[in-house]
Amino acid sequence: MSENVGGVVTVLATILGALVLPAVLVGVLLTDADLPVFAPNGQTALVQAVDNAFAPVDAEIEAGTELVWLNRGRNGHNIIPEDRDPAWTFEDVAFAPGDEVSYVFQTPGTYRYYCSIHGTLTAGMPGVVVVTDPS
Amino acid sequence: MTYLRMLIGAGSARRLRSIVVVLVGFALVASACGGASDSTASGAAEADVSAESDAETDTGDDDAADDAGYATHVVPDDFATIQGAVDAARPGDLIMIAPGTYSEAVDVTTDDLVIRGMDRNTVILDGNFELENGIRVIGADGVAVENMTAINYTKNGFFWTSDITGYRASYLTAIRNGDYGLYAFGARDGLIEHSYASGSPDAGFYIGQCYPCNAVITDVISEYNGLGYSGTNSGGDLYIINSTWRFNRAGIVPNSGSYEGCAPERETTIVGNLVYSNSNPETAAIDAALLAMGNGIALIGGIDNLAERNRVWDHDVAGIAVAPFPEDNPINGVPDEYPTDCLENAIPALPDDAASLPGTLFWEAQTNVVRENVITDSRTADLIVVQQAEHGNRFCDNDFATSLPADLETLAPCEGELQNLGGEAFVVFLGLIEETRPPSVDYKLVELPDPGPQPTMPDAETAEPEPARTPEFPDTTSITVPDAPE
Ligand SMILES: [Cu+2]
Repeated sequence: MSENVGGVVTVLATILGALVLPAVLVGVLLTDADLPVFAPNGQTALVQAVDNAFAPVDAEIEAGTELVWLNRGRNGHNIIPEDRDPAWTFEDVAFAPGDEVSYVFQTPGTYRYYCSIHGTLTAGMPGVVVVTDPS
Repeated sequence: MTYLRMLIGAGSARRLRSIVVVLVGFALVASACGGASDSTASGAAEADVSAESDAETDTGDDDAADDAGYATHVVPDDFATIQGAVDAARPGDLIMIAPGTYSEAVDVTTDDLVIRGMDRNTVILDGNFELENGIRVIGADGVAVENMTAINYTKNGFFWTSDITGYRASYLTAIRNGDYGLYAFGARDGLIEHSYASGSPDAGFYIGQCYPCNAVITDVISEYNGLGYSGTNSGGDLYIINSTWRFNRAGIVPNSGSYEGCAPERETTIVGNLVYSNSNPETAAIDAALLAMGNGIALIGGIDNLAERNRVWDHDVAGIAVAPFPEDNPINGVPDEYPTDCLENAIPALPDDAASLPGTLFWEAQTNVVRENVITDSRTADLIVVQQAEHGNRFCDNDFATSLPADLETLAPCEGELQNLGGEAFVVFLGLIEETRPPSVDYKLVELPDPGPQPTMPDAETAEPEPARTPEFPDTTSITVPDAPE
């Protein structure tokens, strides 16, 4: 998964240059002290993206777990979150066949997402992450 | 949950990427184009709005709908965009699109719509290498798309997906799209006819993950793609007939794989096609196209397929090859039982123990039949079978000069006992899969010939809308070997 880091750094620099101000603004806007946040627990869970589907479609993890999406199919995908939670998303180019992307879910809740290339939130290529309280 | 806390969530290398993807996410959100179904309304700009169009507007009235049993929605007269018309339409309605260039990615979720261009060659959907799919039908049954062109999409020209029963593609042209030209996935009861696809790195035409597919591809031309036809894990009343497959890396390539549901590929019937010069090193191409390069018809990793009365010539490897498909990094093994209904819940089952899977899984081609084809001018051999006798592939009454192994029709006849096929073909096969092929050319930059005006739908302005239903299956016994073009 580290093969794109060089390109990623370039992209990062570009985006930082262009987006420092909006990113800071959005960061402030998204602050919500009422939601519990659990520390990373060192655990990982796997969702495989195959052609036109996430497997499993429903992933259940404990808060603090890092969820890894691994593209085991032949087509590129993206991960678009349901509108209410735009704070996590993955760009198309980062998720070509063989690539993986990951995210640590630290707050319990139900996170619905989909691949916009192959469907919508309800049909085609949807997925759900159910994040539970740590046991 | 705070933005900053999310950035602190993961380990170092991964955290870097997390930061990037989050930022990229903001970039997308900031530019308000994170989704796929943009329907940029710049379309209709070039549309020819003439006096004649006023009459069309009248047929769009609901009153007219009562008389006809359906409503006609005209773009751009009634709606500025195709998406606008689609969203307003009810099942059975007809959407008529006037000549013009439309920069739209249209999503269709309503059953039984008929979406028709008034002129195949001048109704052009243009993705500008930014939009993903020209027309994408998601989970809607019976949608027919007719008489238009889709170019420059990053994914597919025309796309049906997600548990669809009934689809039809008629008089469509798809050029220079980043995955497939015409793409049906998880859809059955389909007809793809009178259509043209070029310049896709994957397949010009693809039907995948369905069984029984109940589908017919007829009278199409597929050229300058990675693969002319590809179909992973599809089959069952799936007919590929009376079409032309040329100048691709490889021609007609049904195949199996664990990365899509419903493996293996089964029961595809390939009859009466012209298959030639599929050794083109100058196309865009996915890895499977590089692997299959130089073969006219390659039955790789599939079962019970029939290739019959095709004319096949000018290939660097084989006119017709029957071979295993080597899948790297499989997510599951070959199923013990083949699924018998592949429309729903066809996500591949994940293995309990991925570590037990081989690094490369070989899908064996079994019990395929190759007969009465005319095959010439193949550089390795006209007919190649890489499998062994136990796999039950049979060959008879072909008109050919060379085969691997030699005397193939004696060793593996359509009737009678199958004999030892030796190991020579397997050695050649191993050499081929190790061979370095000319790399893919960027689909955005690849040189493509102008195919010229394609045959347009008869009576497009007046024909009644016919939603897609189960197609009539062809009587393949009446199909003869087609003549070669001049
Ligand atoms: Cu996808």
